[in-house]
Amino acid sequence: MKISFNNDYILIENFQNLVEALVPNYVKLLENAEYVDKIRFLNTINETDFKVVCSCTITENFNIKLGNRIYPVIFSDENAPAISEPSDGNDTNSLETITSFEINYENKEVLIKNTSQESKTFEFTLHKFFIQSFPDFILQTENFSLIVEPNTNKIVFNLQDGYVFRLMTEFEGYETKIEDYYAYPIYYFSNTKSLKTAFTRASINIEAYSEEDLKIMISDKSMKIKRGFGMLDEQCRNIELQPILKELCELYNVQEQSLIGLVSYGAGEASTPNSANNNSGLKLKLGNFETDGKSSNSINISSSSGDVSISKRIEQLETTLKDSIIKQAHSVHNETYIEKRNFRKMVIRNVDFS
Amino acid sequence: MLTLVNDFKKISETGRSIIILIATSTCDCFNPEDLSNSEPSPICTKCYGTGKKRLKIKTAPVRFQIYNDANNTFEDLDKNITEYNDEKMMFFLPSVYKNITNEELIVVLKEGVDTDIAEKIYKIVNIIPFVNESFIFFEAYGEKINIAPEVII
Repeated sequence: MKISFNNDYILIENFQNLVEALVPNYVKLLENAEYVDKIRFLNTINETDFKVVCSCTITENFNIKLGNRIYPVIFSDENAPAISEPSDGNDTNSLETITSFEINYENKEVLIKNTSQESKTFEFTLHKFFIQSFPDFILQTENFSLIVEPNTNKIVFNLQDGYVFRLMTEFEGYETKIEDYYAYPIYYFSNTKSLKTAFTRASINIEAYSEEDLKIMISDKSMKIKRGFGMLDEQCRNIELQPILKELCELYNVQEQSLIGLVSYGAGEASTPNSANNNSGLKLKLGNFETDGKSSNSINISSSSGDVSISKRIEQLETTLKDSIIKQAHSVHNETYIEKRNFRKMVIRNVDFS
Repeated sequence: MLTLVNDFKKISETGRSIIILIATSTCDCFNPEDLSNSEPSPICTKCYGTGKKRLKIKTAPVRFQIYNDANNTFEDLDKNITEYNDEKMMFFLPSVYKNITNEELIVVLKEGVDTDIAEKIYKIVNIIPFVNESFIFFEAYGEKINIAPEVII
């Protein structure tokens, strides 16, 4: 996301969820830390960019609040300067001079360092989320305080697989927030590149999904497979099962996403292509305007037949996976049984009956 | 699927910008508990006489056209087809406006003027989504409401 300021308006580019921004009270203007009703209107430019047009001249006393986050107005030498969102989520100005946060991925720790000359007391609020319900529903909230001595590192909390943590602290009126997405997939039988290819083959629009969405999808479906087939951790790590697991994981996602897109409406003055009565090409009609559909002859939407073939393939793979898991277990069982039997024979042979 | 998205954008570019007035809270230009002595002011710049404060959203160009009932009914000899009737209008909105409801108003702006002057205001009476896989757009039907002339939005 990128925010540029001008004297009359605030331009916000690459905003991920524009639908939310168009809800009342999502965008607010603050002057000297107090809400003011000086937004004239919001001007949407396209699906990701919009302008906040104000009825007054914007100065450095103003802040803009988007959802829960507050962005200060910063003018640089240029007329329309831009501030970019910090990539690590640590959006603070004066706290940066006193502290620094560090994530140690090897030991799964989040550390705080006090860079000032005095020992400081920080009060933290830690929110714990399931990745599936992040960021709407908090699983657990914890409040605690830490005394950090000067120029020392101290562990704030430990990361866990499968969970997202949000750490918030307030210090002398400034807020900071760390959201960590580290190591959320516990099981992952595919990758995003391969899933994108599968979506493209099934003519599903991949632009609607971000990388994180795809990772969550893979993780969810991998856990579904692991749990549904009662697999052990050893079996998940078995390289011989990986091709089946990967294909099954992708097909589950393709089936789910194509089912969502199957709903279509056919009334009114506008129409979208329907596979049942229009197989020749894609024709979009908005009232008197209609496209020729010639440019899209190569795309074949046969969602109903495609869906059947996907479900059949999934059935085949499920049967194969079930068989292979059972056979593997059976063979292991047989092996031990044979070993035991041979051992008994050996024991029997060694018995002296005389 | 990408073709549909691009086609929709291309068609929408031939339209005009409109303003969607989203209802937020009750306006303070009248007392809702004493309606016999007070009423929403038609010249109020916050609610435009509707009684609710409005969040103004100026859209990128969208297509809209007159909705003619004659297309959907049996032909009648008494019907004057050439009559210009702008009582009903339909708007083709992209998916970012999926939160709009029947409480919102759509303002068609006057052309050839720098300031945003309302030419007509329509109350949304029906919204029909059109879905094809991940491509969605909305067809919003509006009925014209009476406004004070030359309202500056």
